[in-house]
Amino acid sequence: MAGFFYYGEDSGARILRANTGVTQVTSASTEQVHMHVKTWDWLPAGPIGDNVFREVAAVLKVSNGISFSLTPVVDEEDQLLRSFSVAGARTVEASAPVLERGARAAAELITTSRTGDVELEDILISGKGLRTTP
Amino acid sequence: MGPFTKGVIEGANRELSLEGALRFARNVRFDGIGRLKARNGDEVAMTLKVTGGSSNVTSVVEVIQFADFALAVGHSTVTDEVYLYRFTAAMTGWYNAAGALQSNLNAEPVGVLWTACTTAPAVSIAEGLNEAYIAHNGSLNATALSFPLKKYTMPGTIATVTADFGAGVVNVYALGAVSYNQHLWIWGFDKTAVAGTAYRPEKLRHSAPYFDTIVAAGSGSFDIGHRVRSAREGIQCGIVAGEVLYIGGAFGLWAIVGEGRDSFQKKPLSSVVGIAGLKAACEANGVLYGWSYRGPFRVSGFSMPEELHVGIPDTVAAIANPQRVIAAYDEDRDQVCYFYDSSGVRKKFASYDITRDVWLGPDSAIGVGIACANRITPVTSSAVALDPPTGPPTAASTSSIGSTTAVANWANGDVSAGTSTTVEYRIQGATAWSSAGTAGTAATSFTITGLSNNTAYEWRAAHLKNGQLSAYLGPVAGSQFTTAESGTGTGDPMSPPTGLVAYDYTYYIGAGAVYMSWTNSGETDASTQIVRAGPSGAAPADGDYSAIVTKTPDLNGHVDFVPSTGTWWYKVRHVRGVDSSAYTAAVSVPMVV
Repeated sequence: MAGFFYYGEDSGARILRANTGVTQVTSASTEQVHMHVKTWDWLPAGPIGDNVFREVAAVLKVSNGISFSLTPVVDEEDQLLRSFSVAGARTVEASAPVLERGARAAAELITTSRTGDVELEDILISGKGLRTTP
Repeated sequence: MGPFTKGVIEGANRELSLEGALRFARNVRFDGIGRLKARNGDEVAMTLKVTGGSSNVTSVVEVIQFADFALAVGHSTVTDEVYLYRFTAAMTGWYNAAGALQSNLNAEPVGVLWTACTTAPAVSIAEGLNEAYIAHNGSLNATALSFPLKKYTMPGTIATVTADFGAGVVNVYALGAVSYNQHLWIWGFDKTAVAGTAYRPEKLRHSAPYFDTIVAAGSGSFDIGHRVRSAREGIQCGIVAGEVLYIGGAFGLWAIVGEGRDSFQKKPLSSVVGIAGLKAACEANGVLYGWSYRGPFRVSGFSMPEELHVGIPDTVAAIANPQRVIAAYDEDRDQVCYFYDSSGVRKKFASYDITRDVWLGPDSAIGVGIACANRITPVTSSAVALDPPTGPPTAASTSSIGSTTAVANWANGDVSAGTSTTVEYRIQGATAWSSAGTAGTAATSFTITGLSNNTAYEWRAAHLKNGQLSAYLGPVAGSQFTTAESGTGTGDPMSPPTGLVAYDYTYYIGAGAVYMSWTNSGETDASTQIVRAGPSGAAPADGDYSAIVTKTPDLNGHVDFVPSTGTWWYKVRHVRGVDSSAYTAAVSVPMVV
């Protein structure tokens, strides 16, 4: 543990202590801090190849419940978003089917509600190459 | 790196390192070697009140460590006064003017620094020997002397600093103050009480040793640069890093070393890179990190400044007023954080990880991320000067109303990348809203959970983009609803699953394989029962379905194997004990076995 880190409000009277809890102070109340990650594109058959993508999956460790969404992205087009909610402390394995053909795929994960620690353990994208870039 | 790097991409690219895994990551941090976790938030440590506690100040203008305590300066546009506060180092309490520790978190000042100050000032505080010198950055100019340098002595004495330069005692004015090698250093003021000649923005002056009187002339002063009173060489910031006192002009940087008034020497380091503003630099582990008009840089010892802007050129270009940048060192994270306060809202727009030597900065329209860094860290808030949502959500309706859940529906007013929708709810008649959560880009519904049965609720929703909210949709008639009664018998209104889809997976798994998935409604400990009918070209009657499996709570997928060629039909519902939800709509999948 090092020192303390504080923010002073430029337009307000409050001094805020950083790096604590799972919510952050807003001008009116508080809001949860949400993880938002997106992978780089996966191009298993090269930049102009053809693949059939099967699903994206995420593995998270949570200490006290979570809601999150997982969105497959194929050729930069968002696919059907899947929402998940679990309670308690556990490892969550969630997947979203894709079944789209394309050259590249990515996954986007956004937590939408949390009351404890969240650790992103893994994101996986699966599919099969049909035609490789010449 | 840590476990997150394993299998980020399945199959062909197992060897991918973390640098190749994530395009951006917002609101995350590393823990240990490579655990990727959601970052923490923050909390209110203290609220500053005016003298007597009758109202809050309107601006916090400085917070620093001071001896074994902390000091803060606040300003009120109601009283036009500037106040000084003293706290415990961990801000668990504050001290009044008599030195008595108060344990509440509504701090009152130890005294008034300046009166008739109509706007929030930028101030600098130099720590002496259990004394603090406070300078007002607008204390003087070519036409007026306004807010003299102040000295604070614990517990509650605030006095104006004076000096005699040979023509009688005069108040001392300073644009800034810094403590270096047991001397008080101030800048912007020469030895006269006449405004026109007292104003010397390029002049640096120090006290006698041990924070004694301000020295009159000669060895007690330095001129920075050669263009007297030019904006180019006016001193903006003085800060100590390592063994060096760095003096920054807008476009120049000087180093001063020495151990006493006869040994101090200055050395110009750059006539291009300077420090843009009073708070635009900080010290981290003996190195100065600053923000110049060219962007960020760092310097140590007498070396040339090392410019760091090449890592975040878009970010640098987005800073319209670099003199308003604030730099601070977060020891917990080993990061130099850069803030920008252009609209009166604190915004951390970039951080430099001094242990990994990488930038953690904005990712264009997405917000703060790692685009330029390939590393991940706690970074907060929205980027600077990015667009708000183009419009609010519209057309509220509520569906799938259960005893503990309901689905809020809306039409999007903005479906561009990076736009989410935040949903809040409350009991009708209540004043406070609770967060239900945030829906992703282009989502048009969100399941509100954790409701009480047989209770009238209402919800509202707003788009969120780049940290800025649109107007709220609701509460309106379509966003008001009453949850169902709860019971234990068959037919109890549990919320059903949604989003059932089924696909032919013969290619992936084998003959007759049907993969299906759905979204659980959020019912606590609810299993999901799958029923099947077929093969049938037309939709089967309810009585034609038979249960094939019941999945344990939280699972949302299943692979079935059909026995023959034809179109097969599936429905799912939640079950819990003797309770059950309605079935989803049936979905069909044609199969060739």
